[in-house]
Amino acid sequence: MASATLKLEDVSYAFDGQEAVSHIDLEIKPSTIHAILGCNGAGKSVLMKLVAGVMRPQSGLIYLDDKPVCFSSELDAIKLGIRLCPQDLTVFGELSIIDNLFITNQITHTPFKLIDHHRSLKQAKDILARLGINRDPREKARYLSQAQKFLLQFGRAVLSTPRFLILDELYATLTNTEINIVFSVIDDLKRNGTAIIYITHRLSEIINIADTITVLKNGQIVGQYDPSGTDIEILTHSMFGEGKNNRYPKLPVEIGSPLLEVSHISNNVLHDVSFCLHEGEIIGIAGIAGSGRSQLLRALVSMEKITSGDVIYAKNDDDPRRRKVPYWVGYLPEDRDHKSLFFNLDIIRNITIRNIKQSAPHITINYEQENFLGKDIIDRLDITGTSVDGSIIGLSSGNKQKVIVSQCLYKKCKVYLFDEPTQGVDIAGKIEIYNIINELVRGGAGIIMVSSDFSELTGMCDQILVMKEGRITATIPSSDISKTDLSEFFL
Amino acid sequence: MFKAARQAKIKEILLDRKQVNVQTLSSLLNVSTVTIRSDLEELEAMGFITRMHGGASLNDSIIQQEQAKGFIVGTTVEYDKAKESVGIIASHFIKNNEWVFLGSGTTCYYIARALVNRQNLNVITNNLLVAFELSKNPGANVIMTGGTLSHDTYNLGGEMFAEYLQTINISKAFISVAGIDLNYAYTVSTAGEFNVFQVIRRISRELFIVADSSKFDKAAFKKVGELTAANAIITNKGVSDAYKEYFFNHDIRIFTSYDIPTSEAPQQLEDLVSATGGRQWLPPL
Repeated sequence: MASATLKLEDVSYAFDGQEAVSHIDLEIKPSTIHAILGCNGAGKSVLMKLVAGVMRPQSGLIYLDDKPVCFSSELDAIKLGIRLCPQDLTVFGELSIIDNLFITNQITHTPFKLIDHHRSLKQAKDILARLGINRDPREKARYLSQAQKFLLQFGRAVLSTPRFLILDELYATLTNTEINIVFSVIDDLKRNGTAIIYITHRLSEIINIADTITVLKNGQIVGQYDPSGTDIEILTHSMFGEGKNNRYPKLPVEIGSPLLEVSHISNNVLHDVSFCLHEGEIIGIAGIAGSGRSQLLRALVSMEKITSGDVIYAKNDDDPRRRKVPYWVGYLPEDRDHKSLFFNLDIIRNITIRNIKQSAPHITINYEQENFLGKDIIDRLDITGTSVDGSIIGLSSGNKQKVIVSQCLYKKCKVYLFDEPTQGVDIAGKIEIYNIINELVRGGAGIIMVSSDFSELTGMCDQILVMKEGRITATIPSSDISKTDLSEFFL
Repeated sequence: MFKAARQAKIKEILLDRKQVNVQTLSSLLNVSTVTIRSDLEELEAMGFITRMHGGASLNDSIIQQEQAKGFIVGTTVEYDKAKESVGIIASHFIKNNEWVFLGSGTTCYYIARALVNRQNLNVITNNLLVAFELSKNPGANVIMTGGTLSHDTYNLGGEMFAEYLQTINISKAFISVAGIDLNYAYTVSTAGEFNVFQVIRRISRELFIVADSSKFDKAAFKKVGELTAANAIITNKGVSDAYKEYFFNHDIRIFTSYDIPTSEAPQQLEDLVSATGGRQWLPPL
């Protein structure tokens, strides 16, 4: 058993023709900690799902002890001792802690395969003590904190005494003591012959614990390192490569006068958020889901209450205190289909919907005028659909996003608040949206962009605000953006 | 906007359109019709225009002067909206005090046009049209390369050209090509342009290919380099998705211009409606 090795040969996997993992050769030896590094979207998680049998490789083979194996499900892999401890929580809240721990490998009396409650309880108590969870194992799992739930799921993987333990990213909110517990358990496992595959983007700790480091980029292995002969800089370099942001078409535009000033706003989610948006500027907001990034955008357009602080729009002459949101602020929500578009109306009607008044000079809407103005914008933004009748349903997500930008253009917006502008959009569509954003800032608009794609933010923004738990924890000016690894702020 | 700048703008608009009405000027420049009228009065006094009911037209003598200017270089470049927008985008990359090369072709001429009001420029070019356009800008430091003149395209090239550039380094080069194709890569139509491309690629730190979307999916006489030879592509809308994807996946920036109305210059609704032949169905309130 000690000699068991896991070998991947020329393994590939593609989503819709786009290779997430391509031609990977990897060997994992027993009694080692093998770290796999890579930035978001490098293909780490996909690769591990292939190894753990969650997905099957489209080409290439996986060898276990020199025998090719093919898993039809995750359970097959577990039977062979390959255990995945996934990134997201897979804890059954309504089951007891005990049941959660032994859900894949019940401890049974030998002859009749009946569950041995006595031994289960004893082992559960042991492991909980080991993991520092001070709970009765018979309690329901939902009473545990998020971090404890993660530890529980880790304990579940450890209890099955795997030969290969795949640890996909430690849970984000683990404290240092908890991380140390995890590492000491890992160390014990390693001494007993288990190979640990640890996926992460936390560079600093890796160097101390790993035996081998493999770096993935765009689904390919770009380097394998021995931690004793390397340092963080070399690893960062190989993770991101040279031209990391070069692919993003960022147009240098002169930054003008302030459009919007946010000073110390707070509400139940946000705490003391301040920044200033200028003409021609793109501000990126980096944060994980739930960090208050979307609430911030909504607060700027008064869709969310602000308990203290001010949002001041420049040149807002209608209102002496300048609190009212002027017409030239456009909010483009994340949920395009449900919050911005009307599927029962055609494209032109969708474009003009935010400013019907423009085509209604008198009492009723002048449809001829509306059609003309709508078609003009469709033509300018090159919105191309498959449908003949101009229906919104057949449009691709990129074109849908363009329709929403058109709504704001039709309203003559100067400030655009984008929430995830390119989520679910294909590459060609992304390029189009980036270039439209370029044209907007060239015309003097200011843009705030919330995105989970950090390379997009570093590629397109003039300034990046890092948001965590409703606060801005860091501000990255344009001169530093190219050197910054945003993911380091979320360790 | 100051008076002098405003009047210069009015002149520019008039040179472009020959004839314009007060309403349009007022909406384009975002000032009242009264201001426009007083400006037009002054311009008339200068002998630049003739005022008439509701607007003004360029004086015939001025038109002749402008045409004469065109005849000096022997050509008048035909107006092309796509190339103009490509030129404007490209001009954003040219920083002050940085040495840039503008290559042959009318697209590069439009880059020069977008640079006319900029200061502290350092431009090296083999394109007579570019040099002529930049001669209007006293703030531009322009150097012409040596070389043999190509008569139909107003470019310099050949051996002298290569020799001249041997000891020179430039930070950005803007070159137009005759064709861009996924199979045939970048192509140009003469051997002379091929040599220019090779020399420039060697001595420039960043290479920008400027080409409007009509150049895509086309192949000309000679291939000058792989698609990955450039650092960035500047074009306009209408490029097919395959190229966007290719360039993005190969870490090459692709800029496509869009003609987006800015919030400063609202469209005149009445103009647009009359352009469609539409009519108002309801009497004004």
